[in-house]
Amino acid sequence: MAHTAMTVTLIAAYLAVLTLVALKARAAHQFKEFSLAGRSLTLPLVFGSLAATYVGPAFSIGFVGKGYATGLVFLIIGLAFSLQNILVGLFVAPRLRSLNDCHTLGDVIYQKYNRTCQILAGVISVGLCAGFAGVMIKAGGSILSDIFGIPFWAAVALVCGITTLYTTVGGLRASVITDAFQFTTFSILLPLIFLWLLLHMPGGLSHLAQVARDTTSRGWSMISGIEIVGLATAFLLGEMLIPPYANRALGSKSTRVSRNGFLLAGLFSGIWFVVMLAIGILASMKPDVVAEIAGLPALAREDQVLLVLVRMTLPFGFYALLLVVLLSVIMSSLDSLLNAGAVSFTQDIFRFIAPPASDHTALIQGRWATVTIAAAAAVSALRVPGIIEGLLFCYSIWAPAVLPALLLGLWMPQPKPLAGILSMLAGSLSGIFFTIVLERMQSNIPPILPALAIALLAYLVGHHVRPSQRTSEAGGQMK
Amino acid sequence: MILIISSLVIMACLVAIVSGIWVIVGLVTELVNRSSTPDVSARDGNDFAHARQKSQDSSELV
Repeated sequence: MAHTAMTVTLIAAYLAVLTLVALKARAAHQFKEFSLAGRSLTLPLVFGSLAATYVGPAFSIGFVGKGYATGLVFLIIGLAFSLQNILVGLFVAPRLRSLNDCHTLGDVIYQKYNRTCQILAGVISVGLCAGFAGVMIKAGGSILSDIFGIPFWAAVALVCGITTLYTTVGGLRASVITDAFQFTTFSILLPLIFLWLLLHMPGGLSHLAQVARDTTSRGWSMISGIEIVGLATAFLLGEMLIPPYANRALGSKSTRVSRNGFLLAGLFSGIWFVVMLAIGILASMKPDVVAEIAGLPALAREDQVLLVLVRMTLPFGFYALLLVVLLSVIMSSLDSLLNAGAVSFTQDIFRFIAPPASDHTALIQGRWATVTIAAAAAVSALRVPGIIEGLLFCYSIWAPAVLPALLLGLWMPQPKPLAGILSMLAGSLSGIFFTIVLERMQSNIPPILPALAIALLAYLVGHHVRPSQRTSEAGGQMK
Repeated sequence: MILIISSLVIMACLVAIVSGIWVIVGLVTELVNRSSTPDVSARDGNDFAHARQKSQDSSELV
């Protein structure tokens, strides 16, 4: 009873501090403030917010489970994600930031192609943000439901309600500022929990390193070459420039901040993977933890390693702290997705259906879009089969649907609208198709690879079929 | 190998903690700066065209 009261008090205090931080960010009074935080984000905020957004359940709970099962194998696979951030920082983020009058990736695509492409990119962005948000809400709802013993739907409403409240009022700045606060929470607490466990471990660091070496050797034999290629591709491309990351590139104070924010976030991801995998390896060294995990259903084992380790080996206060950490990991990803989806809906879709009469109208539309996307994501959270499955589904669609058109459009001198349209349509449909078909066939081939190939092929076809339309649309490019 | 893994793990923990401290310092600085400046956006956000024009602020690029 005392333990429950302590957990509830700690989480209530954390949510109160988070709300206070969000209020200090102030309400957004302009659409530019809501969507891009006035393009004034500093380096610590861009870096902290990027890291807080990508460190979700998969990069925390998931990686601890992978460390437990396969040692440091996933460090090599995870480094593909680090490389992706570094490449985006070096080559794409500064280029995005240097474009004027862009609030979303849809705006970027409009400047390179035409309005149809922007609307298509907007539909894909909003759909993917709602999908990712649904997965995050499911993860947060599961944790709160366990802590408070409330029905899952009530926990979903609580997670969704608090996050939606501050994202709706404060826009991107509130999202980024609360992300930075949440980043600090988990980037300090989780390593401290690990170091505390390590200090109380017989044999200490050298024993851990020996077990890491042995578990990693076994891990390499458990995973096939095609699986490694598939996972590395998903880590390299699956989250590349998803709307929340693009918004932070566009909202940075300068091209230099945009570039350095992504570079640092890429380097930090490598550091973070080492810490998470080391926690998993440490869990595999505790016989009572191993026995407890072995008694769980096979599919749930890896996802339970972190919770079981902390619950069984640390004083109860640490367990309550861990729950706070997990909540912050999830909410920081969720708020970014809601804001990015809302801005994309307002700027890329709704603006062409009901053009806003004033900046204030656009701001109100953005706020309503936040609430609507959050509600749709909450409903979908009740139907998401699993966290990892949901994330992989979103990854398989995003990369083929948007990346070829976006990246080729940024680098080619005269990109053609038909190429963009064909690439986005073919990429979306083939991403959905291959995810469903290859899963039913239980194939090891990652759906992202054939879908990307088809999207690129469609782009090439569109590029060579018709002459450029840019000349005829040149007058419509400037908004 | 043992030495490399040991060093990697400890360095990773320390860098993660230092990163968290750096970000919270940046966050506090940002909040202090914001609370010491008037909220001008509240009173000049009524003209959409004006706001869109202002967003073409290439002068802030480095």
